[in-house]
Amino acid sequence: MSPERGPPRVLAVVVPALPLQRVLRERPPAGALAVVSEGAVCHATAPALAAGVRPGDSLVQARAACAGLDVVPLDAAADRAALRALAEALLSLSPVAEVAFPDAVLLDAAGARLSGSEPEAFERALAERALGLCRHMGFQGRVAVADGKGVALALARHTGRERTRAAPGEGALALAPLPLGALDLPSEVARWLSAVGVESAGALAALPAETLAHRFGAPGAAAGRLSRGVDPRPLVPFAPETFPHERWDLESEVGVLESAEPVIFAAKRLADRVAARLAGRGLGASRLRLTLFLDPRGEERVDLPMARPGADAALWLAPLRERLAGLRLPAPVRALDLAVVEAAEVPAEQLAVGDRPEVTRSLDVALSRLAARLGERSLFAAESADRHRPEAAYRETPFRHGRADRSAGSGSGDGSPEPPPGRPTRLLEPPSPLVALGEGGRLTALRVDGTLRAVVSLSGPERLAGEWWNEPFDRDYYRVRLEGLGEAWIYRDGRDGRLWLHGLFD
Amino acid sequence: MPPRYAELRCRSSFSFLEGASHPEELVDRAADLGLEALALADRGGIYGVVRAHARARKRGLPLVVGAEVACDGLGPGTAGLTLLAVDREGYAGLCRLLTEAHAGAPLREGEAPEGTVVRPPTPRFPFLAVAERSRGLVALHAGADAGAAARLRDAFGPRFALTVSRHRAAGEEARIAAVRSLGRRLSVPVAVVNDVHTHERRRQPLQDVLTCVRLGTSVDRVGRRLFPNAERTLKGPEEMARLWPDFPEGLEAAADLAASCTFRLEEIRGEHPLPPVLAGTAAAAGEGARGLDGPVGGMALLRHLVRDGARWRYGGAPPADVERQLARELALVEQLGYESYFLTVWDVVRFARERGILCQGRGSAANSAICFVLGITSIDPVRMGLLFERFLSAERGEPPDIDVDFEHERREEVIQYVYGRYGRDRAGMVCEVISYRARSAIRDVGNALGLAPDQVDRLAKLTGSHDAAGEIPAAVLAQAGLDPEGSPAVRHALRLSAEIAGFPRHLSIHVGGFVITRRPLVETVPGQPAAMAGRTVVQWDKDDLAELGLLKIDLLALGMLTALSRSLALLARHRPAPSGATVDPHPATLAAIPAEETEVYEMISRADTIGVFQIESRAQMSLLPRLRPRRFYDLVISVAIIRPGPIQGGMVHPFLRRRDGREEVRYPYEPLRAVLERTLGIPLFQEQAMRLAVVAAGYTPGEADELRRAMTHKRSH
Repeated sequence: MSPERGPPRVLAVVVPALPLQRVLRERPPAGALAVVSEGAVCHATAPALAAGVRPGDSLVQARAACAGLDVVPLDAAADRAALRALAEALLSLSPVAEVAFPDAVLLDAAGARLSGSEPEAFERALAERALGLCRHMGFQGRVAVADGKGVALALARHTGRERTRAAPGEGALALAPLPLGALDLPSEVARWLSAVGVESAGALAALPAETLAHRFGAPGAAAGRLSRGVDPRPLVPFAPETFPHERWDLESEVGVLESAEPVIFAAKRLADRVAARLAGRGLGASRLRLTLFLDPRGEERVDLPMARPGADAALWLAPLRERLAGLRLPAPVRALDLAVVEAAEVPAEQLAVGDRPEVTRSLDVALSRLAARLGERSLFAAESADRHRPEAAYRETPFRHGRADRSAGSGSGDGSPEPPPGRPTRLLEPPSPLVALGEGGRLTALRVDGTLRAVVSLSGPERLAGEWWNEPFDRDYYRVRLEGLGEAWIYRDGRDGRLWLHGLFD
Repeated sequence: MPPRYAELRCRSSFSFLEGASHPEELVDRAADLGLEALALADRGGIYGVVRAHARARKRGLPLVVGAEVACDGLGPGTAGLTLLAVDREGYAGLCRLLTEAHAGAPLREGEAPEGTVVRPPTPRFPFLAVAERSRGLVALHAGADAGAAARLRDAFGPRFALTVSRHRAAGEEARIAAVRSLGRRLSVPVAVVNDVHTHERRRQPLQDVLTCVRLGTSVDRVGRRLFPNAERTLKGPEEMARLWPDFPEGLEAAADLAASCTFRLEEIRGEHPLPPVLAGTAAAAGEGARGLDGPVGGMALLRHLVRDGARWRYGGAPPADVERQLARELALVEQLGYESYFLTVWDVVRFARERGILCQGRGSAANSAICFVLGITSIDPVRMGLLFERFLSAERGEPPDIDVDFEHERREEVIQYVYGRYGRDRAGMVCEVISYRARSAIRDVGNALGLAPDQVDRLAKLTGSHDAAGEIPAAVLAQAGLDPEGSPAVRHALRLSAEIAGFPRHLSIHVGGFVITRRPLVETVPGQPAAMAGRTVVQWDKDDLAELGLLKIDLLALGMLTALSRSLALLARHRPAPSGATVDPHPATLAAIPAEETEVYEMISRADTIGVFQIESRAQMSLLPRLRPRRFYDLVISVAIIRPGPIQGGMVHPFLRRRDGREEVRYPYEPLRAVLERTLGIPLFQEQAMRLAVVAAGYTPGEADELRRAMTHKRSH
């Protein structure tokens, strides 16, 4: 096999004792605690182990060894969900990830070959980033890089080291000292091998290849290949089906929360995880929902629209703080759930000279806070609509920072577009009635909302009429400068002669 | 002093799918408003100018002839230019320009399918071509580009003006100021125009619909491509003066420019563009006509041919009443100066007969004794009591219209003869304006209003039996699930489709009409190429040509003549005359076919007429056994009676009753016996209607013909 087309390089990320780690990440530093399933201990913390609790002990035995033992039942569904959440976050490191239950995620590390002269450095950097993401998700992980997923998994699970790397072609060497159980062989194969005194991966590798194949068929041949560091099986891609959400049940860990600040603190932890999972999928949240589960019952929902889709938890906190600050909790909070309700792809943006991403970020924070305080519908961009009727000549669209306004051209009636005409910055809905005062045929003042204002200057009219097929309109618009008000846009309705204030020029 | 104003930039419905008023409406409105003049400048052609001219003549309104063109090479992009004819030379230059510009866009025969938009393309002119033909033309330009304005000023000199318009649109005042400033800097006059698209504001909804049809969209989606208001309409001097209190000199400039354009289409009529009697015509007429060539000899040649023809037809000197009729007709022809017309048609028919191409004149030409003796027609009008004024009269003021049918497979030989004889630059085909009818109107309007396709289909189907969608009874609409009261869109569709009916939709080619001119055709009327190579189509239809007294002949194709020709050839080949026979028992020409064969009439009376020209329809076959024709005139009646006039007039059954003896033949007034005797007291023919007016009401024959035309005339729109 040429170096360029060597065996698939796989990074295995393992979360040892995942059920225990999952429980512990939500609690303050725990004392003696054990995770039990069907009355037997699965995993135990260091204090519990120091007190004499052992995996496999019955609950009675465990309590006998450690009187103050805290017991948490195994929650396989939650463990699986946590592992899938970790896989989502790890997708940011690799185009393909496989979830290897009960405790591992496998990543395609083939990018190392494409990195040029330093594949080892690439793999080590990849491994560090994977460990970092594990920590971000609240886990202490172990990683191993090797040829093939079986080899990498075995190394990550059984070397006992946080980081392991088997260079290309050296998988067998790395596996050799590991016990046979590290290879996760079919039980029949493992029993026979043990019966004939094969106890290690190295010993298995020394057996003639055809022996296992002859005796056990394909599974046996595969076991032999694995012991020799050969595992050509492709990764089975993991595809997240739903938008991510993270939940934290506080009751048994920190107790109920009775005010906004601790809720925000708790939400931050969830936000970090959700953001990592979104980033792994190249998505950004455009709307989040924080559900506060109340004690003893009931829930409050807080919807957070974002100015633009993103996967930066720090940007979410400001609007979250705004919303929670104004929220009166009818009861203490016993659990939180942060879910992504709407998401969109967020391709990486290339910065141009002069771009100031920190300004963009600040703007996003400000816009998100505005939306949170004033309401979602209060924040929009006005995009030109191709209509002559002024109040219909724009439509609300989500604000997109930096995007040029591609408004439709105005018409000359001959099908050739022209730039749209100037319009006031603020349009009144509905228009405000006016009373005109004049002298010698000249308009001298207008009464606006009961206040008389002198006319400083007047220009126009611009005549807009049409839409006879639906709701016809016929107006003569004037631009008038009013004392104390500035420049205003008024019109005389051609149907009844009445005057209206329609807009203001800021 | 009252303000002066002339509108220099006006588009009619012949700016296809842009102008929303007929030329006549624009002229009427301009006259009513007191405009000093009106310049009709349609886009890319002068299609509608004759109609405007005819109405302007009646209203006494000066009509300036022009066109709107698109000019390349003036500046960046394409610039719009309005060209107005100052004099005859300018008009000729304009026609040449338009002809050259249309060279790449051939016209096709036939009507475009409903729902398709076929619009003459906007011809584009390189600026140099325009500059070369600037003599006698006024150029108007609406832009503010100094470079373009300078080039136009250099090309047109004092006949160039910048224009400004005020439609109360945003940004206009800045443009007006810029153009006025430019005019001052370049010492170019600035004239006010209103860029008219409608004759009155109420027509704006139709203009909006036309825009949607043109752009292939609907009112809901067209957006700002519609005009923002209805101000591009005809306005009178007072209204324009109120609109331009800051620039009265712009109105004066417009009036002055219009006054400088003195060319009127009437000058074309004055040229009497009839082709000269060409060299060779006299020679073709035979030995006795030698020396009768040339314009002076035209009438003399015609008289010579008539004399010879009369001797041929009557086997010697014609009867006295025929002599009198011929003399009367010749005098009228000489008075009106139409001798060249008859000579042209005679020459074409002569060519066809020499080549053995069967041909026959039809229609009102059969009322002319001149046509009979010249061999153009085959009916003796004196014996048949036909009125010559049906064909030609001093009152009508337009040339005669002689339709000649030729064998359809050999018509092209005749057409090529005409081109060869007169030159391709003096002969051209006549266009036909295809206008909106009820169904095409409702389809285009319905789509423009955004009606659902099934609604449009239902309305179109219902419209089929009515002249306009607006005539469909409400009950019928309701039955089809269409509610004008409840649906504004349906209501608007019905109203606007009635308004658009008759608007020009696109141009086609008349089936056989040819116009022949004295001057090169391109200096009289612009032409466009036809799809068939080597043919030119002029931008006017037959009514336009008649209005201006331009010579038009119709060279039509008739399949039945081909069938007859083949029959005669088959007879000659398969049943030749026996050797030694002095008389060929088989006819070699139509005239030699024996008339009034009993067996033939018995066959006809049995309605065994499949394949027999004119009497093979189901209506004819049901009538013939009742009518039992025994002579040729009975067939004439049979053909005449199965027509909309006698049917709707309730003449058929009374005639048949009298024919069967079941009703007494009566005349309401004894002098009418001579008019109605041959049809048993029932008027069946247009000539009889004319003679009724003459005998019973004292009309002159010319007036009687005017009455007939008023009763029967339907223009192409």
